[in-house]
Amino acid sequence: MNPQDQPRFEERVRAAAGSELNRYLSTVRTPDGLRTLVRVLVRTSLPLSPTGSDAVRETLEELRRGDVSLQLHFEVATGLPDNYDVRCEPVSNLLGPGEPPAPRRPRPAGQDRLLTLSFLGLRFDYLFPADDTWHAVERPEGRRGKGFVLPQSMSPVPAGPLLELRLAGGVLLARRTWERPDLAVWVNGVLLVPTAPDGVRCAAGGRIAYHRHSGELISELDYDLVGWARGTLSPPGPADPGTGATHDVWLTTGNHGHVLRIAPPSAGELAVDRRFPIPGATTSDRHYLDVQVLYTEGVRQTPEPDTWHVKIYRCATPQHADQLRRYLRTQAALVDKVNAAVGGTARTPPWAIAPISLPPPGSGVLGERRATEYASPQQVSDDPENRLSAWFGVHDRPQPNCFVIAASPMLRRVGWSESYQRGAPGLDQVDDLMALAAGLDQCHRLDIAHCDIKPANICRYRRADDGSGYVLIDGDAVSRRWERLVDLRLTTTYASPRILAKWYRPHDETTEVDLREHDRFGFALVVLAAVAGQDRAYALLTQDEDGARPIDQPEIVTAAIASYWKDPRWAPFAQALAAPFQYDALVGDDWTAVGWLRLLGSVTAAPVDPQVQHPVAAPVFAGAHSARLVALRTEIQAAPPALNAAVATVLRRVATEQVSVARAAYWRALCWGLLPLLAMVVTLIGVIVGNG
Amino acid sequence: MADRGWFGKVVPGSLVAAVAEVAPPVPTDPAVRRAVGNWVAHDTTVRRLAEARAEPYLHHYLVEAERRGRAHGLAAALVVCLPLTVLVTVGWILVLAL
Repeated sequence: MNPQDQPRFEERVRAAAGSELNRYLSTVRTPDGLRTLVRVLVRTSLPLSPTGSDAVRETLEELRRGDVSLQLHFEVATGLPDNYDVRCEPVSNLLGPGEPPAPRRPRPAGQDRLLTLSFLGLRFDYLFPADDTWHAVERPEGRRGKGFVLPQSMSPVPAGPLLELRLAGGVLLARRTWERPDLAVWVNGVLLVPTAPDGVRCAAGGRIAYHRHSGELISELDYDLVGWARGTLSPPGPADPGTGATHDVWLTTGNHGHVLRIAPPSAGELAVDRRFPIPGATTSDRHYLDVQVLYTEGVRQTPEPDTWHVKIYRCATPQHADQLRRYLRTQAALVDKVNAAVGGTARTPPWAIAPISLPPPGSGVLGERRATEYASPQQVSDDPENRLSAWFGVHDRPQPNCFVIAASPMLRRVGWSESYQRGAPGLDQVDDLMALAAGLDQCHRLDIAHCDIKPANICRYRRADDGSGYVLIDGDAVSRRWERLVDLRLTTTYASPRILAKWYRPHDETTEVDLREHDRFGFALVVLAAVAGQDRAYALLTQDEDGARPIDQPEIVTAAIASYWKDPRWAPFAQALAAPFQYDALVGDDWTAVGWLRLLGSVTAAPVDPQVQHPVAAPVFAGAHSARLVALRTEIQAAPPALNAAVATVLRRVATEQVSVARAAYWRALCWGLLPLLAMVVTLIGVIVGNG
Repeated sequence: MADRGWFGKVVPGSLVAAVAEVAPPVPTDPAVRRAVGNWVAHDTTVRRLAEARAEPYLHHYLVEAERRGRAHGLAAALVVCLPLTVLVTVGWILVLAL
């Protein structure tokens, strides 16, 4: 069996095991108060991988009834008709009363708190359970951390679980672990020592400082512990745009502030529910921020007014609104970091993800005061908060400070070409998508994922110099790289096969998945739509009656892409384009979007050149100046040029090299010209000396 | 080539301007442009694939610059050395005659 077929084979075994157990359980009846023990024997011609056997185990666990216990055995056997066989056998159907479920550890009474760790303007919130146990605060490096996990990209914070926190009876305790004894940890000026296992009592807010033992400060984290009040949102009603008056807020981008005039939503529009996860100390300890969202548009009152896309969030309590605002502000800061990697700022493109701007709370005070029909003018007026309540259809709940507004520049959606408009691959798109690819890679380096990359979420921005590029929108879907599927708002149509399989199977809710593969899959679909035509990409995503998609089967994808262009010169390009859709191609640290696009660009560079078909054996060009070229390349590689500046850098360096080549040729030619003169001078001197 | 007169073709200082005229432009062919960019990629496969197209392109401009330098050198030799050689030869004949 081809190693690439192993996942499909294991999937067949898993499905067969589930079917066989279902069939067997339908024939078995357990007397009341007793349990049935079933032995499941899974025989395969090849040993299953640990992942495959785990999948079988999970499936059987999901299918078994509460009165059934399973004994699962795996065997490798030969001569099996389909290379696998599953049998279910009764071991004994009378075992005695079933064991009572293990008692859950009682949770100590106490109120959960919200722990906020702040670092250089970035804030991360965690739900601190009042469970009287120690939870580590750590920045993991090269692995997944436990406890209150800070992003790996916050490199100034020393890596490792140096510090542990505990909430006991509403009192915060901190203690030092034995990790990295070369570093000292101070909390509010108190040095923590690992020899005090009970920890020291800390204030509810303050500062955690990391020092070297020499006394040098490494970094500081601010922390804040506040009570967390749960709140429930009332259901939204149809939007009431009132008189059509706008809601004006003060929007600051960069150092420039302007009024953003937000238009009301369409009459009768209903707000949609959104849920934002709040990380806890453990993966099972997770709470949510339930909010409602209205989508509308706003016009920024600049000398040349421009339109913005606006999202208005309604929260249950002002505390939730503050929490959401902090969450979105941190997201906005991370998006800015990603954009900075491709040379953009909050105000000016190029961008990889459309920047998010958050008007500060209390900035919407510009609305006129007007009486409403719900109360006397002295009590309630049509101030901005009330107007927003009406937009959400909850006139009777004009609670102030429960709204959060997020605005992004309105960008033009991309109209991807259809395949009939493309006789050959759209190679021009490969260069245009490079900044987006670099942004995506940067996202993953920062330990965040966009989570909703699809052709419909790609827009075009326009630069001041009339250049343009692609940008991802819907930046508020950005989440941590490791996230639980239940916490995500992903579009399953564009999900990678692995994520989709986990999504459809009843999954363990506490297991987190690496979302880089999901992002990369979405990006590969975008590139496919861009270079081959959007109809072809959508055709590969169409689900059949069983929910299966052609894109999930690598052989079909490879054959389909190879059939797009009949000219054999495009065969290497088609092969490279289909590469991300192979099994496990997008998993791990090695795959990068930029590297893939460069590969696509390379195979399009010389599709008929036989040297290109054997890239590893391609000889380096051997000209008179080849050594100079090699040295020049090494020099450029030592100081990598900025994104999209590689061509200009190479040409500039070649131009410099040209001068030195020309100078050498100049003096060489001059020397040859001097030779007759030298010969004559020597002869003249000889003659004079001879005559003398 | 812009006309700089015989003097401009002789002095070394004018060489830079002459070479600038044959500086490599940004390739109009997108395939070549991509190959030039990928030629400095760190990924080995990408780099090797780009070599076949990028190196001949870049090498051509180095050869062109060398040709300009050689032409300038020979022109300088002709303008400066030939009269001197003639003078020295005449001096040599005069010495023999006297």
